[in-house]
Amino acid sequence: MSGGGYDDQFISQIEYAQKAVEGSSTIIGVVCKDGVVLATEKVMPNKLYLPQTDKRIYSMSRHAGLVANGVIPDGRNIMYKGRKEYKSYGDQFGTEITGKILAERLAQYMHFNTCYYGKRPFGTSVAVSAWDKINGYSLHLIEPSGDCNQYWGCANGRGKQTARSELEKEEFKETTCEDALPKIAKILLLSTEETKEKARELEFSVLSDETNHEHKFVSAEKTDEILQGALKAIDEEDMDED
Amino acid sequence: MLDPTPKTAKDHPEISGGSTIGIKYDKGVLLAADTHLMYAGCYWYKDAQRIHKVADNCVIASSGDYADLQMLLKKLKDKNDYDIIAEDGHQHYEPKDYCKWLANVHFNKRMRVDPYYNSHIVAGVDSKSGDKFLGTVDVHGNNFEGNYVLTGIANYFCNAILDGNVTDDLTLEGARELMTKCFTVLYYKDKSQGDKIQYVTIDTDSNVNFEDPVTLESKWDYHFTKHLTNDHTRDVRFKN
Repeated sequence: MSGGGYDDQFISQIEYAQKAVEGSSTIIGVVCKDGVVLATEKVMPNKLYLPQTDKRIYSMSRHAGLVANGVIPDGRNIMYKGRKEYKSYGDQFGTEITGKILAERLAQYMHFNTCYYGKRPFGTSVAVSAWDKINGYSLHLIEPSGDCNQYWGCANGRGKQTARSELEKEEFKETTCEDALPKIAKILLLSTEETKEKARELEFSVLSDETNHEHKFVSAEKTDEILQGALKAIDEEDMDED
Repeated sequence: MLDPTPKTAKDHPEISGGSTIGIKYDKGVLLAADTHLMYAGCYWYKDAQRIHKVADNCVIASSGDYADLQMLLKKLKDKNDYDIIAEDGHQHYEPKDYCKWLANVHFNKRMRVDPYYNSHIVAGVDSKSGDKFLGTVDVHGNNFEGNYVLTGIANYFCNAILDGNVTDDLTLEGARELMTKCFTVLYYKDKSQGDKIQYVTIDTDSNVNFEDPVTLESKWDYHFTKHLTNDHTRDVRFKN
């Protein structure tokens, strides 16, 4: 795996970064009727890990959150950048940053890292959920290249193909966040069937009217409940097919 | 070349507020402040809020420079926000922590000879133990706790009213009565104190209640105030 350079129209460093993302855990973001849900699945790489230790969802402000995959320390770097951007925007303009501007600034930051000899692209893709007074709820997905798009449902990582087609089938716009959680858990598990045998953990965050527009993590107990429920539902479906 | 002019800093507050008082009662803490701000010793703003909520279980009342207070409130908000979004399993800051932090900030600034011209009362309830907290921080970074605390000129006028009367079984009504007495005295004696008082209570269930400002009753139509002359300030030679 040598350094930089153009291979036809591709910058190989970015391709490598995208590979790191594609091989790692699935992340999902969904805009529902009353808010935004972020979710991710992870395989415990080490049996000695304590539960809930490997966090992938973070808050950037009271009203903005992010879920990262790929190289998690890179994702944390983006998160800290997001916190800085939130604060500096507030200090400058006396109003809170909108989700779109926040996501675009993070995308710009990730893009800058693809442009210079001494830097490397971030090996992570992040889904940014945000609420602001002007645009309401928003969801953006940023790729390692710095590509940033707004979605009502997005997925990335190893199970992105399955997850995306599953997301298209569901009518999340008509569902509340609370009702969407089990469905999202099921999609996450279905999209990563090949890791079925290993110990898996889920992580959720909700940003909705119910949480008073604040980005809140779903508690470990509730997450476990949802996970068990989803596993059961999948098993039942398998039984029916048989 | 070195700049020959020495570094200077502001040596007095610009727009500032008068005294504030905090009293512990049996089921919480009562804070009060007037709503006046003054500039050069004159009333400037009449409806300023001088008691602010900094966290779910913590309130501060401040006298002194209002711009400095606004700056500190911004810092406190950032502190509270980062405390909450961290979600690191650590417990949140308690009123005691905010009080200590303010004291540190004040001490740091005064050692740079550019102090924040405020004194604060920090009141609240510990979210874990449910204990009442009432503390004060002044310009220099001094930091005390007490059953009742005062800032500004109330330190000179109100100790005599409150001392011994703030007991563990003081009710909210009793505390309010004492508070009204203090502010009436301040209103009569201190030109910088207004008569519109705002009360804020925070009880042991962490309910923070900001009340609408009330106007104090006062009586001025005494004979000597009606017929007040400035004779006593005149030089003897002008008298007959």
